[in-house]
Amino acid sequence: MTDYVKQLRDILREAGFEFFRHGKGSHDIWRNPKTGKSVAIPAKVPSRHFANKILKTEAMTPSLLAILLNASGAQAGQAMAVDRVLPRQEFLDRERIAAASLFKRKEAATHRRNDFRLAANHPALRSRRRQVGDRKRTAIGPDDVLHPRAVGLVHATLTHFKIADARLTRDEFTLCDLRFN
Amino acid sequence: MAEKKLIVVHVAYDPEAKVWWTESSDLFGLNACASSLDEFRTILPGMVQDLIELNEPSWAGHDIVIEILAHGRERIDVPAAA
Repeated sequence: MTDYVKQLRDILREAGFEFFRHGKGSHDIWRNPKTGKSVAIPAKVPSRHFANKILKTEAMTPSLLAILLNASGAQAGQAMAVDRVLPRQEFLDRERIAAASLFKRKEAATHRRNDFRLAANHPALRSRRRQVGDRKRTAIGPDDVLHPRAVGLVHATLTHFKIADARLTRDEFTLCDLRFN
Repeated sequence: MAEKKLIVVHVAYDPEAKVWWTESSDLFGLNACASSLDEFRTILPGMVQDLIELNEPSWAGHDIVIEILAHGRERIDVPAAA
């Protein structure tokens, strides 16, 4: 059975969370020192739906958004899109992009409202997307699908984000592709 | 008498992974997952206690009530009458 917990921990680390302590049970407590918020992470996460829920509700805190925004070099108050990888991208092997995940993304493109929300002067999804498409025959290892890059941290669209106050709610931005497939 | 605090936890079933998982809750960071609802119920109190201590310290001393709302879907085939 697939277990998504290792990948989740990696993403939480990227989002600024740190292991805090073992919980009263089989879960661990992870804490974000910047926000002061803690989350419980079970020892096993066998469900991709559950993993996706954790990503969207816990990992996507302002700290992770800040990472995404820094990666994009975006300006405060602008409608913006992030089409860059997270920091530590140098550790990520571009040749091992999880095509399976990205293909799903491509298939879903027509259903994504995010694409229609890009600012008029914003560059549309660029060559990287095409490059990825061209790599569809690239060999993929079983773990690649769950790579942080593969789960969608490489591309997210944010709208009407004010970086100055950094008080984001989930309603203030639109995410795409931050998911386990 | 201690003030009552209600935490509603929505639980969904994933037939693929055969587990019940926390779809949403009133308590930030609550992420429980178990192969049965009984097991889920045993996991929840410790996790809730941890998260109240860390995320909602003002709830300490309250009478905490956890309401679990589970929903799942099963499909069955009923043969047509002859």
